[in-house]
Amino acid sequence: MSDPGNSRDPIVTLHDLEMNFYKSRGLLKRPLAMNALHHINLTIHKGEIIVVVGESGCGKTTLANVIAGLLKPTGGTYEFKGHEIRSMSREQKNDYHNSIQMIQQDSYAALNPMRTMIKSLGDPMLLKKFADKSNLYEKVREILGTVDLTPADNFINKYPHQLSGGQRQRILIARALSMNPELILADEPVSMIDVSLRVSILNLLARLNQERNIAVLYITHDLATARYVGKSGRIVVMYLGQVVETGNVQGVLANPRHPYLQALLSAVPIPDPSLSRKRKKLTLTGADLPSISNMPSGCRFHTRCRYCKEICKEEPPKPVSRGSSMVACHRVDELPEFELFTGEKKHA
Amino acid sequence: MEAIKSFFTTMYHNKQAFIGMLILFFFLLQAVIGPLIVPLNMGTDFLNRYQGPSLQHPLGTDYVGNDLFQQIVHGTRSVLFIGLLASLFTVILGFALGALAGFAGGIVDKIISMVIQILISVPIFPIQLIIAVIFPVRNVLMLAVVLAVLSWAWLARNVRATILSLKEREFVLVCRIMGLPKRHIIFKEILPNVMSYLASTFVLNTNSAIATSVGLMLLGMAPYEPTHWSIMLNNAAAQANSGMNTAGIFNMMVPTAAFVLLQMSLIFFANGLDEALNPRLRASYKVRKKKNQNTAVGMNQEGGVSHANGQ
Amino acid sequence: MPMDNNALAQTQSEEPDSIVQIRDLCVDFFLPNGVLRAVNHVNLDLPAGKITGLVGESGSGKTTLTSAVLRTVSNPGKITNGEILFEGKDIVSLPEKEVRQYKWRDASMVFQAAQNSLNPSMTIQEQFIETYLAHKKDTPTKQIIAQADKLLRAVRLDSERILKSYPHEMSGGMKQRVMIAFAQLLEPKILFLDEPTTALDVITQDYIFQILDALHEAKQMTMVLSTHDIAVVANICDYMAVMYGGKIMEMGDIYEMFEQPKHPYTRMLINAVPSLIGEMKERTAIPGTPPDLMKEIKGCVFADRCPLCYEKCRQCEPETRTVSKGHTVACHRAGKEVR
Repeated sequence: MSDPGNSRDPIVTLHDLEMNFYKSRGLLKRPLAMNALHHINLTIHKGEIIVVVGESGCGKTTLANVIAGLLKPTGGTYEFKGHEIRSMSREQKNDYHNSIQMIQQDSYAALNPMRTMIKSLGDPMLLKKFADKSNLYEKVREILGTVDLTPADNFINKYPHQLSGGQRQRILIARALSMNPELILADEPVSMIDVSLRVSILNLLARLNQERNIAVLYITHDLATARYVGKSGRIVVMYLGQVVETGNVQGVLANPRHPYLQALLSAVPIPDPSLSRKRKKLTLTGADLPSISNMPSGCRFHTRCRYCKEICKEEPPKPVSRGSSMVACHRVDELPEFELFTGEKKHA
Repeated sequence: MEAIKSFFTTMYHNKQAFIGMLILFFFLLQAVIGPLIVPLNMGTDFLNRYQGPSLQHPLGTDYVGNDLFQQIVHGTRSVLFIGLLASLFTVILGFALGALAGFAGGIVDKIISMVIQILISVPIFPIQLIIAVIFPVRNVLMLAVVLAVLSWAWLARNVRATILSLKEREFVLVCRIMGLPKRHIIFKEILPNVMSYLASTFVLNTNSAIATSVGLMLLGMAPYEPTHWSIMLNNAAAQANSGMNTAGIFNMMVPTAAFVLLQMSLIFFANGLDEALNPRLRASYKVRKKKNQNTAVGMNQEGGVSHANGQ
Repeated sequence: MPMDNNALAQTQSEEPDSIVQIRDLCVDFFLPNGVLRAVNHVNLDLPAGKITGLVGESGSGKTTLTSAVLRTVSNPGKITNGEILFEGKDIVSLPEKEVRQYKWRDASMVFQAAQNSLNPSMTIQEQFIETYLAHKKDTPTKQIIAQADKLLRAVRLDSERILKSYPHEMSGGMKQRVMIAFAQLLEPKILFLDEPTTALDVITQDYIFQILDALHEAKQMTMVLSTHDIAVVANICDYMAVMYGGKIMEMGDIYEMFEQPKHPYTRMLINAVPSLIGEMKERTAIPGTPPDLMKEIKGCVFADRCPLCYEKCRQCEPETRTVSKGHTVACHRAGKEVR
């Protein structure tokens, strides 16, 4: 689903990517296959911001792990800068390991509790030859400055537990930056940080994207921050391992076409008491996600969709282009126009 | 240097651990230089049997009139030596096999895990007895090996489980994403996190090794050392008719108290060790120290730092 | 217009319809390295029959405050000062035996981690019955089951199936709904919700708030919702109290709080949250980190992070004053524009 108007260099190209997990069911039974990602097509270009949204269990973290190389896809192709990931030369592999970095949700778990910041940040730089012993401190200070941890000497010899959540999250960003990456995978980077500090981390990511042309894949369940980070970027909406709608953030959020996205949008709390009470109520037929080991047939969303018809239960929908977005829904043209509020439309 | 200093600072602040450490230090001192200072006089002096504590006999005398204090001092060495040596062997074996299973995975892991399962599910002490019968224990080293060879299973199991979970922790995943070499991940990222566990296990294992060695000795499966506390206890108990002879009770109590004191100090020390080796746990004491000294400066610094970073 | 304590008490007594009145409450935690004052001289009235949102960052003391009202502050924490009046009787000095009657019957709670609050080895039905009998002995089982059935239906669960299930057979959202039903078993007069949806997905969260809203409509039950998410509060609450560093910074009607926030912290908090609608303006975080409550703080607790801070803020603590009916704020510079 690459944007045709985008001629920039692709960093990551996923084509019909599949990811299955197998769960052992004892000696005699065949292992249970659980499909975590299904037919994912995604191209990430240089300097682009892509937000991936979905509920927990939709496969968004699995997607990040596949892109980061932590999981080997069980089907489809994954190309890094045009090279198939499985058959890369040593040099290309090294480039791959430097170019794609990840920022995790739990900043405490992402730092070794036994190691100080200079070790956590410095060792990878030494090992990957981004610094040598003589200029290590200088380089680490410089990178801490980039993520606004100043004066750097206050952080260099600290252990993870001595820093606040926001500071640790900045350390993670600093560690990612130290590898000179072209793509940062940010997996719910702010969901464990206090609300008052969240936007500062998001602003930092946006700044790095603009100043250094680093592509950002921002993974979240929070559509409000997705919109804030995404701004001019693209959005990928996932449901049970599939992409249900994708397009540019503004367009898709202003005019959501897939019933799932519409439901998601109407569930987001709005920080304005008068507006939020005019919101239309949620319109799903079930609040709970089906089990991943017992995937619904046809369209995976049909068990919760209020527009569900016979065809939805039988045939998986193919993504079709509508406006600037791609939507995977059989009934995309028959759905009533989406309104977030009852009464007059207050949409920006 | 810094690490050693902070280790002792933490130990000092944890009163229980500090007391444990002091007692343990005292026992070690006793084991190393005690026999050089206190002479051992093992004769028979029935005139002075079952005496209470006095200046001449600080802990009284036993059923043949020998000084109990002398025996305790001379027994310390063998008790501690067997305990520490057996524990050292156990930790080395358990750590090596557990780490091998955790890192290698596959068939190696399967085999080691199976052995661990078997060792955990069978009672160890009877087997140790059988081994001691087949391979007669002639010296302390042999005894330590017999004690260690079957008791590493729990340790190995825990080390394996810890390593398996550490391998999936985010900070290790990040290293994999960065493509850092395996030796860095194993030695710099994972193993330091196992060390505090190993250290406290080592101390606690000493405890159980001493207990088991006592059992083996009482059954006569290990070399007889008249001053070993367990032999003292055994003889005293036999002579005191398990307490029927009231005069012998104090004689029994002395080695028992020595055991209790040693084991208690080991447990206290192990608890503190865990804290001292873990930077997260030892933090609070540092903070307190700093606060007492210069609250104002500390506060300003913190404020300045956080102010700058939040924007 | 600073007010002395008498005048303050007067304005508060003008509002007779508060079910819980917290007066000068302090909760201290006695830790090995010092005393941490989690709740610091808090005065707060919880309006009866309304939903009050208690907003604050982690460590602001909101959870401690609710547990103080429920008398569940546990070691090393202790209520060291003040009183909590529930319908006129003081909860702080209530003997242990009466506390048991008060808890769950008069005031109950829904915790953040619902899965930990349910006993994994009992079916839901057994847990309902056990709790009920612990408070009201000699009730026929049939009556309890009928009550449980009614409550589970009210939270839109398939009660016949749920009653016979164990906690592990349910999803997080279902467990949280069971907890909400559970909390109402003895028909309490006030229900505390501590981050009830933090671990849940957006759709489930919205669903739960719809249920809570409907329950509130039906029974006019007083609810107190503690959360760090100001958007959630805007969605459902009638009143909002903002907590910071163990103190109440501002309290008032939800519409007024959002339209005319007086405390700089409230303003900045509202400003820090991205919204799904409206213009895409740059949001700014609140600089700095929360205060260390182990230290003695002179002046305003928010002074270190406040852009409007001046000498007075560092020297003396702002008193709580009333700006309009039911709207109180503790700030020397209340109402000044934040730039």
